[in-house]
Amino acid sequence: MRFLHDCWYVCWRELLHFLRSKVTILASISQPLVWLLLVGHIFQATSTLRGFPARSYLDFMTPGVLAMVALFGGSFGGMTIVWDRRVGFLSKLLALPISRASIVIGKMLSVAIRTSLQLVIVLLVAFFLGVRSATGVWGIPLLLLIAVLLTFAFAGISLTVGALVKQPETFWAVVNFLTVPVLFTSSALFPLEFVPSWLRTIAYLNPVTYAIDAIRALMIGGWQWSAVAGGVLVVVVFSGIVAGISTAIFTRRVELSTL
Amino acid sequence: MVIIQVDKLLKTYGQLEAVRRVSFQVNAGEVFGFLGPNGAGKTTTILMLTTLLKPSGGRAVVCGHDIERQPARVRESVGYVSQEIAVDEFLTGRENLWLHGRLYHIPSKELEHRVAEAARMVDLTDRLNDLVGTYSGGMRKRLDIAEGLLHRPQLIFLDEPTLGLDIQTRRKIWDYIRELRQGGLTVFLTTHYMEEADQLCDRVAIIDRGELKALDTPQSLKAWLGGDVITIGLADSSEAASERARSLFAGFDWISRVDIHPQGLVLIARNGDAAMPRLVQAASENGLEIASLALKRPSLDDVFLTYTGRELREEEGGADAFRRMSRGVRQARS
Repeated sequence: MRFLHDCWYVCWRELLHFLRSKVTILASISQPLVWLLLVGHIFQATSTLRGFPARSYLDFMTPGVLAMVALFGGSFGGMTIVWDRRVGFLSKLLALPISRASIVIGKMLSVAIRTSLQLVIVLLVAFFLGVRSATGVWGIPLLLLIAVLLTFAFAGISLTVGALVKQPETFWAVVNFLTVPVLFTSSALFPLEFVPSWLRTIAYLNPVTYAIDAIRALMIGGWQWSAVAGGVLVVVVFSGIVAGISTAIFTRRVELSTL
Repeated sequence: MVIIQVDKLLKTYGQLEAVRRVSFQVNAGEVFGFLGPNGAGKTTTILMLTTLLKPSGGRAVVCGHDIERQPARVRESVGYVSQEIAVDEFLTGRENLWLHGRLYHIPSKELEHRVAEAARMVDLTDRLNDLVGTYSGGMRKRLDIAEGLLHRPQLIFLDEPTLGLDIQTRRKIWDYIRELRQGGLTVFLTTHYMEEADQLCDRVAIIDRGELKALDTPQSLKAWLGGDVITIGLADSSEAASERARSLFAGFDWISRVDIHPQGLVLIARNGDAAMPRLVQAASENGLEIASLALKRPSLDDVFLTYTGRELREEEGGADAFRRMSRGVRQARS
């Protein structure tokens, strides 16, 4: 109970930061729009290929854009650790009688909450562009949950990087190095039927693929329980593992790094 | 009653010994000062005592809890205000205090009172609902100190509480510290300002290059010098002349100590007023021309100089030592 209370207050602070910065809010709202309008049309021609798994490219891409938002939104999270360390706030948090895990989980939570706002915007815009979910309104909470868990996991990866590096430049270099390949080796942008088999193998090692496939199943295929359950299982296990590793690394690193 | 017990505490970064097996005690209710230049090991010691840094050796008990075995208990019983002014500028003063208090698990109802009380104490009541981004440096520091007091700790660590603040704010913070002491709180502060240690502390430990050089009340430390401080500048600044003057002055029984420092010869003399004309006379009889002569009552500065052979205010040296140390730390980590 106390742990959740501590997580919530760490999260509360981050959310206040978000709400106080008009530019950040504006950027977070417009970014998913751009993703959908741009990425949603850029490879439109692929939809004319035989065997394309959706009615239109936009139908196919909306789940991919949700995953992109989750990925990029989540990967922002670690910056707050780099920043807190710079201004000395991190030592202050560490001197409090709260567990170190609550700092990590609280920050992950705040990233998940603010990114879920972006995810909802993507869905709304997609709706106006004519995208309809096969499972209707009832599938939406479930697919949002999958996307939010994915965000949570990537926030954890990003926080781990944030705990390991000290400079913002290094942080962004490492995070971009990690997220972009993860995106391109997933099923976000192309149907895996169209890619070389070696890439398909990699894609099926990538947890993001399972999340996207589950979302895609809900939006295009309907209630395909095996894909949905598989996706939920993968993101739950994945975010659990990431939260554990991230907390362990953070706890170890901050011992050395407060000076 | 002893509130901090430190035994042979050690912190090393590779080859570099930042804190070299220091031992001391702090009594409940006193203002205890760690005085030393930048890079002396003051902050490293505080970080170990607040459980933020693992010691490489030795042990310490803070408020009855072992810093390595019961870090959570230590963190609950002490307040810590770091050298950096670590308040969140995107939050209001009230939100900062609220966040801090809630993370100390103070119930909301009680916390409301304490926030108001803490704000009153540091004179921030009027500005509590403003974003901290609009606060001056002094106000931020005051807010930071208020946060450290919210959970009513038995002991508060203040790392360089007045660093970089103007004189007025500094005096205000001194007043708060005096008030805290009157309220029964134990204060452990570090400073590299002599005046601060002299004015505020019941006892002062002089620390230099990771070692404790002396520990006593400011009065005893000054009395230990055994007299007034006379600084003599010779017209002939050669080493030979300085040495000759040193052996001459050291021969008088009313001179307890002669040191050669870059600024001249520093003498500790019993009854400085009477000593000055006698020194001038002795010098001229021996063919030494005195260019300048200064007498002052001993200050902690002189104590520091005597113990370490260096002036505390050698900012250059301080910064240098700090760079050396941070380099050592970086190397040790890579």
